[in-house]
Amino acid sequence: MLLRPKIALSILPVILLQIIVLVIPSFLLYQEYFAEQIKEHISDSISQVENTLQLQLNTMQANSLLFSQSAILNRYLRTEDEIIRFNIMHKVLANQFASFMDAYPEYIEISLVMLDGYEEVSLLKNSGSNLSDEEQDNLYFKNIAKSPHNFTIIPQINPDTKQWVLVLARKVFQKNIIEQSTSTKEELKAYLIIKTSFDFIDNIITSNSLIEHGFMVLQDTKGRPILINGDKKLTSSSLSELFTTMPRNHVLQLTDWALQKKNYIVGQKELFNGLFFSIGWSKSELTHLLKEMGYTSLISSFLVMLVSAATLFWLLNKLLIHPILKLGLSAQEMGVKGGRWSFYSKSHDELHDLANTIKDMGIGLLRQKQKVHETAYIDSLTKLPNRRQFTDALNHHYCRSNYQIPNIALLFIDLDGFKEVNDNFGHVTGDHLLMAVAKRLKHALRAEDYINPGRHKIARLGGDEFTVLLTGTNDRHAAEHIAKRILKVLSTSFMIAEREFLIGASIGIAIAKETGESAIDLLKNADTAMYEAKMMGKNTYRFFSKTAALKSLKAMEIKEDLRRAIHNNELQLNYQPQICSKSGKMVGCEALVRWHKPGKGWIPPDVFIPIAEESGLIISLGRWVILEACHQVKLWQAMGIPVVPVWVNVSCVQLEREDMHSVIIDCLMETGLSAELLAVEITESSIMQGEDSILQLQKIQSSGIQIALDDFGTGYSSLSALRGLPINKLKIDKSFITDLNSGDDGKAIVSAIIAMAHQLHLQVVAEGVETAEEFNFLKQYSADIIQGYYFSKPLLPNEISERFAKHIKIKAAG
Amino acid sequence: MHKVIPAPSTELIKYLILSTILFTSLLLSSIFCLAAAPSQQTEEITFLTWGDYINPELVTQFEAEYNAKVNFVYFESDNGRDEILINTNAFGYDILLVDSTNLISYKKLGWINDFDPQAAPNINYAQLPELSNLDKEAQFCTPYAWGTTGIAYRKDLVPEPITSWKQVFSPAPELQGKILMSSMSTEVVGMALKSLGYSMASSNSQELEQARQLLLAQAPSVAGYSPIASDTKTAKLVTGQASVTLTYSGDALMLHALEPQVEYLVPKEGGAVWADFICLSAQAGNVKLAHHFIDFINRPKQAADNALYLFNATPNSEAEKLLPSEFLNNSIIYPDEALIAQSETYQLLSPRTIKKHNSIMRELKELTK
Repeated sequence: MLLRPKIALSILPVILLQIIVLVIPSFLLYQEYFAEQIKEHISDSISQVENTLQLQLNTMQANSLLFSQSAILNRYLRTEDEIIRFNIMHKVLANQFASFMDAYPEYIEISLVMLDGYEEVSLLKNSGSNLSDEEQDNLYFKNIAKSPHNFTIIPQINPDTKQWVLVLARKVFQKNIIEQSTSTKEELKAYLIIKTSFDFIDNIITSNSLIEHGFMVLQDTKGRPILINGDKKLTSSSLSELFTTMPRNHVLQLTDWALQKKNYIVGQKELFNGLFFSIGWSKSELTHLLKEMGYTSLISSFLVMLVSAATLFWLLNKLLIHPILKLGLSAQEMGVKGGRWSFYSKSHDELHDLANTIKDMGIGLLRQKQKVHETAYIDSLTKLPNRRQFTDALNHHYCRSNYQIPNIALLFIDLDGFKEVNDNFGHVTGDHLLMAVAKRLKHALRAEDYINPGRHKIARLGGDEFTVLLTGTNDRHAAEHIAKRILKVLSTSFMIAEREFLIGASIGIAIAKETGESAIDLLKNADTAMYEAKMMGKNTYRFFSKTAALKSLKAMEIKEDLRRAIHNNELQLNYQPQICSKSGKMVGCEALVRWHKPGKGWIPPDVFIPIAEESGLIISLGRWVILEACHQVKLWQAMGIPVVPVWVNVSCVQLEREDMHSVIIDCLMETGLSAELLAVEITESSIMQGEDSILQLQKIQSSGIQIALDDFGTGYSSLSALRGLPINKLKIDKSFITDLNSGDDGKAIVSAIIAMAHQLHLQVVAEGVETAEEFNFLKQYSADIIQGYYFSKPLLPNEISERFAKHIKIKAAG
Repeated sequence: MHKVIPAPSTELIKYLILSTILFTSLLLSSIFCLAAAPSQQTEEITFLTWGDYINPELVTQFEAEYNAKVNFVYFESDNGRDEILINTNAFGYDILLVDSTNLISYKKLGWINDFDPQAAPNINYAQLPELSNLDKEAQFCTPYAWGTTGIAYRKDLVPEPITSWKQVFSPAPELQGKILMSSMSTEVVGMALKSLGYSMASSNSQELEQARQLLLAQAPSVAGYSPIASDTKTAKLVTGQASVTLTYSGDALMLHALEPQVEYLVPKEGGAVWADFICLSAQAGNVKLAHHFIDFINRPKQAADNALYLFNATPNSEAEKLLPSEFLNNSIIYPDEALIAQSETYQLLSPRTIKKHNSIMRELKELTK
């Protein structure tokens, strides 16, 4: 499952769980909270009503005291003559009451009632009619008349208006003037009455909008409702019933009470003597509220859940999934296509770090890949594409052209005289030369690239072989032009290690449309054409031609045949005896390889040895020669024939490529031959190869194996250079021996070589000796050992054994 | 604090001693003040009276003659005066103008004293004639003027000449909002009772209720229940903002002088006959000057001038001799005896009647608020 649906699927249950965890307890908490709130609300409302009432009572009390002390009232009461009181003072007092009522509009009546209950002055708000002047039967009057207090406050129904009013009655005292001097006793003169409606509470009660389904009721001691607010269906009789049946509380208490088949939470309190206040909260309203709250919180939680889930998802998407996808794409881009790193993040979070790590890893991998690619596809020496890349590119052209022959041409370049440079100046020099050649080739083709960009691809196939692939052309002239240019740039001398080298190149050209059915064909044909060029005297180019191809095919065949020959034991060793010039005895023999190809006859060594060296077959051939020689000597020993050391030729390729010392020791061990019966002949080039080769030779020599320097005089080594080298013998090249017949110069050189060699304590071997004159001269100049047809041609092993057996007497010349 | 009827006890003696000491000290301090003051010190008296109820020339003459200053404090209605006196107990006033009804109450409340006829011999000229049921026995003070309460109206602004109270209490539509009434319940309720043919002092609750109904029905047509003697009322009738007003004969004649279209009459049902008195305040600061003043205005010449100014009948018999015949023959100033007999003077009412009056007045005022 992908991360996105996984997150989506996991967010929802988590949030749902949260909702369940949050909503249910909060619902329960709310239930409790609502109940608490209702209780608080009820007690608040009650105390609000109570406070307001108390405030009103206090105000009334204070006002009544103030009014009772009015000078006009005093004067009025002091005037005992009723007629005067009424005619002179009544209206003035009424005016004063009127001004009180103007100041305190909440009073609906201010009146003055005499002790006998006669209401003398009465001022009603809005000039309400006063039905009766006789107040003695009125509740408040009875109350104040028997009260020990100075004032009483009672709720009662106003007989004039049939409305509930709050009546304050205050005793008005007056000091008796006559008695003033002896006592402070005051005489009760009248009652001051102040009436107020319940409007002040009514406002609070009716403004209480929460009581829609409940009720609020103010009742007197008999349960008569004074003020009702709330459910209109509630009858005053049922409210009275509530009052009469409910236990009385001076302290607020909440009771569950059923009223007209509805359940209420009822709070009741006596506000002051004779005035009770009740609040009933409909239970159904509570449930309704809870339900509403529940729905609201569920809906809002759900909305919050949706929003937060969306936000969370969006955030995860933005912060995690999207970057991960981008990171993935970027990594893919980099890893698979090798493209640039495209993931950039502004935030410095873990993803950023991860991206950086992946980027670094990717870059590292890319570098490694490049390195691997370089190792695999780039020639380490010249930094040119190697054979593999070249082959791939070539194949690519063939593949791309949909199995049609592509428009390409191939130039196969082989350096002329490189092998000699390598042999004589060592590989280091050779390598430098190759690098220089590569540089010139690149340079030359870069100039061509200005004309036809990207259409010339150079590669080094190995050794001194280079190729140039021309794409998009069938034109012989174009290829010819490039070839000429290459020849020209390579014809100028190279300066390497302060030495001047002159080399050339042979170039074979194959045009795909003409001769390249396949990539392999094209390469082979270019190669063949190169051989043709070589044959044509080097430093030239040739287009592939069938006849030339046939010729070079021979060399190829020889290579293959030789491989087979080594396998099939088609080779054999011949031994040419070496004769001591003084004693005439055979002191050794040189093992020479012979190849008898079935159906072809003998193939001379100077034909197949270079091919073997070039192809690397020399390694296995060399091993075979050493082992075969060892076996032969051992065989001779077993036959009881007195044996002489056998000299085998070791090519410089062998010295370069393998541990010759081990190879030789292995062969000796395998055959059980003693080391003094095996000797090694090397060429001058082996010595020139450098320290490694010399060290190998020293090791071989120290194992008791003699070493001879073959073909001396053909190379560049001078005699003085031989000093200190691990060499026991010096073999003068047969060309010098041949030259002995041509004049004195030849004789002088040979005699000088012999003399010098002796000076270096080296034995001198002369090979290729064919005549008595030659032998005599060599003997005269003390050449130590003579090898050649004068004494014997190379012999088969059994011929040698016969020779040993016959004890052939050497043709000793006088 | 003066108790009108002192209870006989030792307290009284103590009180008397105390008040004597107080009085003596007051007297001494005033003598001291007088002695300390320069000889030409202007003496002052304060007169509590109706506005524009004395000829100003008379005052000027008095002030000149006695090198004195007369301060006036005006009240707008009898109730206004009552309130002032209740609150001050008559302190700060030297002479008071009092109507016939309240004289005895004021006396009982100890607010007024009798003038000394020795100190002001001219007051002997002032004798009221027989006026309806006016109680001559209860006269402690010097009569000042007398007249009637009736109707003043603009004859150019009423559809037909007014002859009856009924035209006022059940007014023609043209009079809607053009009627001015009094602020005094005795006048408003009293005249309503009169128009119904009852006594204006009636205490019969049925009669009073009828009067109430009549007044409530009239109320929408009434422009206001304000004191008769107010300047605005005067102005309103003169400018024509009001067409009919309940007023006094003297005031009506003053209005007639300003606007000839103003007519006054005592309706056929009869009106009220009243008399005003000048009293010596019980708390008078300058009793001597007060006596000089009452003596001065009762000089026949001055009394006659004042009557001419006030357009009121004068109780001064010597002054009457000096008055022109057209004044004496003016039926408004001197209504014929039959009309006087038809009319009543104001009486003290019973507490319940007063309560009824007061509640009717409050009701009317609420209606016209």
